[in-house]
Amino acid sequence: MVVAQAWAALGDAVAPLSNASGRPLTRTVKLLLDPLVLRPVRNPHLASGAVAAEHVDELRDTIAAAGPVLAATAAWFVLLKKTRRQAGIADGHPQDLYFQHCFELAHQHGDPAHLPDATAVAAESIAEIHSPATRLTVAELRRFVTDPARRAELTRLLTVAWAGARDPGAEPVDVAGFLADPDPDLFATLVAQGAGTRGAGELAQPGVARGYGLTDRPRLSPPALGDSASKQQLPKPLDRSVFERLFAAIRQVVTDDPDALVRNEIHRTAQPWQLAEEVSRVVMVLGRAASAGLVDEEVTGFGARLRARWAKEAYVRRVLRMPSAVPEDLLADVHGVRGAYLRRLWVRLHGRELRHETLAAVELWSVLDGVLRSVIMDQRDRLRSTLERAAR
Amino acid sequence: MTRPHPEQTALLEARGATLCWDVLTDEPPVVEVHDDQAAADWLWELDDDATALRTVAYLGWARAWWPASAVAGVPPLDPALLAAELAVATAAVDHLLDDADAVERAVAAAADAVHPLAALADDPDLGARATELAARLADLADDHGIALPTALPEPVSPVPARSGFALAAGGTVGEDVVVLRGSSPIDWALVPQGAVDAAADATWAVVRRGGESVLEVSAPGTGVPLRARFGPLDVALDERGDGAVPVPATVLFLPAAQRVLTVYSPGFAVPDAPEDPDAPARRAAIVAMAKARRTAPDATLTERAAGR
Repeated sequence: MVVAQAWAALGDAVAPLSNASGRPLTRTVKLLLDPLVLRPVRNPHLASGAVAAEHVDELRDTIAAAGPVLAATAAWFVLLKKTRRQAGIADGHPQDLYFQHCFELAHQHGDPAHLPDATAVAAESIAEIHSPATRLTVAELRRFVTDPARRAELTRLLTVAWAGARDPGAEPVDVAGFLADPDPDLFATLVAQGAGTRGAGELAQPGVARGYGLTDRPRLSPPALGDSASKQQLPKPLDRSVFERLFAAIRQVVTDDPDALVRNEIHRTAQPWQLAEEVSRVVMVLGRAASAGLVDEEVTGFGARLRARWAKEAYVRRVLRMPSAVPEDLLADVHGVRGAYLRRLWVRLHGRELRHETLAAVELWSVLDGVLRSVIMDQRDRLRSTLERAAR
Repeated sequence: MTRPHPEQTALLEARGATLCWDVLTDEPPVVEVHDDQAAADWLWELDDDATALRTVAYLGWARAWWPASAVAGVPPLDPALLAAELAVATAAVDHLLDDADAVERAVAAAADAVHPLAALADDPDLGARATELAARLADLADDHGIALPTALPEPVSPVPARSGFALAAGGTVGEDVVVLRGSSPIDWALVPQGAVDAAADATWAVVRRGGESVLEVSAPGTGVPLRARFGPLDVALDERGDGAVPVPATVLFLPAAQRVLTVYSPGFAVPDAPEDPDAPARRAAIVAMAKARRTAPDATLTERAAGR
């Protein structure tokens, strides 16, 4: 509510960043206010949600102080949209692509109305944003892994990596306390304790990873190197070949160097949870504990919130008049929602690692909750497509 | 508070909570919180935003359950116009929505509205609203990088002419002898939106024809593939909603409770639920509500444009 009032005080100048109710757009919050103005990672006391009374003034002042730069950001956004139209560009989501760039321009140049060559700067920005990225393509990746000499070496590397796979050794850490009261310091402690690695220990038991829906195999085994993949027929995450893992996440890949990418992926497959960073592994452990609520285990905190979201889905589907005759494969996902959840969580964390993105404690809930929302949306999309098929 | 029946629920998935309005009443929504922290941000000011939120929810209800019926005089809504109104209404409350991509999805789903909106632009009653809606939709498309088609210069019919609901014929003609006949209402939950005339019954008749018994079925279908169950029998219906199947004469001995015709859309629903005793009254109330909407002071553009 404080954010809403402080935003309203900025007036019409930020209208391009607001909706018809005069509130900051979802993407304004996600891409500008949160990461660039309020910065909850550095200022956890200003994180969205309940801000304590003693911080209200600081929150209001922070937004008010950002008023001029936000107004200039809005003006740059309008100019960039116009430039985009003139350039005949239709790709990509303008808010996603331009908001943060506009914020930089606003910092650098202030309001474009006071900059004589604003049009040129805008044109340059648009050209830069839409220039084809030097990103690795699937074809390049395939060429790399199918080179005969290299293939032998990579296969050897895979064997070596798995031969050195270590046993977590220590007992798992109980994360229920964190899920009930997600204190950022406690998250740091969990990471420092290796709670993610230690929580992976049980995956070595036959059937455990299969029970979580991460594999179809009774026991985890080294992945194949692979040289082909199909978007429609990807195996479960931990059954994917090295090539399939990178293929599935190719858009997240920020490097154009296949050598480092493939070597890192090979290394990653032999790590606990088959993820490279302890933070990711801790999130898998948290997701495993929180998602227990989806299958009616006793949970509190994060887990109870996930369960509450899932519990109303059957009613929502009836309200949306979605098909009640569900195809087999989808039915498996609906009944095995926890598996669908953990698979998607793994894929997200894998993608984050490839993007070299950090994950702060304050973002955890939005990741854990966002994964369930995404699973639910995906199921609805599939239901809708059965409806379209039936109508034909 | 309990949730309204799904058929009369206008639902909004807001951040941290789901709001359910009963379209048959003016009561405030049933609020179900699943994330108290996220909901705490805005739930306190629900009253301020209630109208805007209810509009989104109501348009969503209309998309799913609008009971178009030739029999009851409820004209169908133009799905493209409805999608345009839904997109603009969704964007107005985007800060309260659960799904961060809701606006983008809604705008993409409204691309077909460009033509009916252009066709309404010169309408003396609705032109101003249609023009404003088109402009807002274009702005949103621009913001979200969605390409809308260019409006056709030739005006097209504002509401695409539907094939019209085939009225259930019932009985038969000629030499045949109708031995037994009856009708049953159609369960909305078993067919997708727009598949049948929402207020017309499906009829059946057992006919003696050339020494054989035939079960003839007629449903007020609109072209969506349908089937019908009658006791142990399962009959495929053609595009007009008609079907027939030879039956043993013993069909006449079916107990009355089993001489019920259940129309369903295969692939959409399986007719296995017990009959809902509240359904006829509820559906009659929804049809009556929809019938009154076109002239309601707060009628949406889509509702006003319906049946013109």
